[in-house]
Amino acid sequence: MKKALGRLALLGAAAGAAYALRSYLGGGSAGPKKGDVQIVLDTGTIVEPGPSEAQELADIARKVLEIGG
Amino acid sequence: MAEGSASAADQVQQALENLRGLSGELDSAALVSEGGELMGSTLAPGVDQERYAAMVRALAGIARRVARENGGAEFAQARIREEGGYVLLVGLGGGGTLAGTTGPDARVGLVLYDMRNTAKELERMLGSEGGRRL
Repeated sequence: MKKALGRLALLGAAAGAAYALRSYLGGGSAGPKKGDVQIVLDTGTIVEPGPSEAQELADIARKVLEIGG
Repeated sequence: MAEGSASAADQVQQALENLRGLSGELDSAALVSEGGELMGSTLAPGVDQERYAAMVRALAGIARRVARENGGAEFAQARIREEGGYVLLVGLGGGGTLAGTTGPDARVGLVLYDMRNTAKELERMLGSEGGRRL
């Protein structure tokens, strides 16, 4: 019984770690992926905003498409 | 409203209609001033234009912030891909923003090319080439 519980705990920990890794790598999130948001500066440099700004831009863009697209 | 400004508004509207006609993949086009005023658009009559303009202003504000954080003074253009399509922005010299939307399969490079040309035309029209604020 003790052994089975130990294995179950181990399995749970492994599943949690896998989920955390997937979330960290962005595979499990519905947020913008690399290349979805691109900004060209007046200097000609092309930049991709950080995750929070990209998310903010994507959220507003979704609404723009909903009402005006 | 003064005759001159009514004529400028008509010219802006005509330029946006021309852009829509030229770039078949563009679903909508709008010109929003830096202060968030909708100066012209090809939006359908039922669309909440004030809300649309506020959202474009918000997008432009974030794009401008990103530009400044990365050593630029302004953003020249921005492309945001979402499930339903693309939102494209082109910054005007005077702080205004030309916004456009397309479907998900649009050739955005071509659309942006047409938008950049229209933005130059709008800058000339509104006298904002030299950075006069819109």
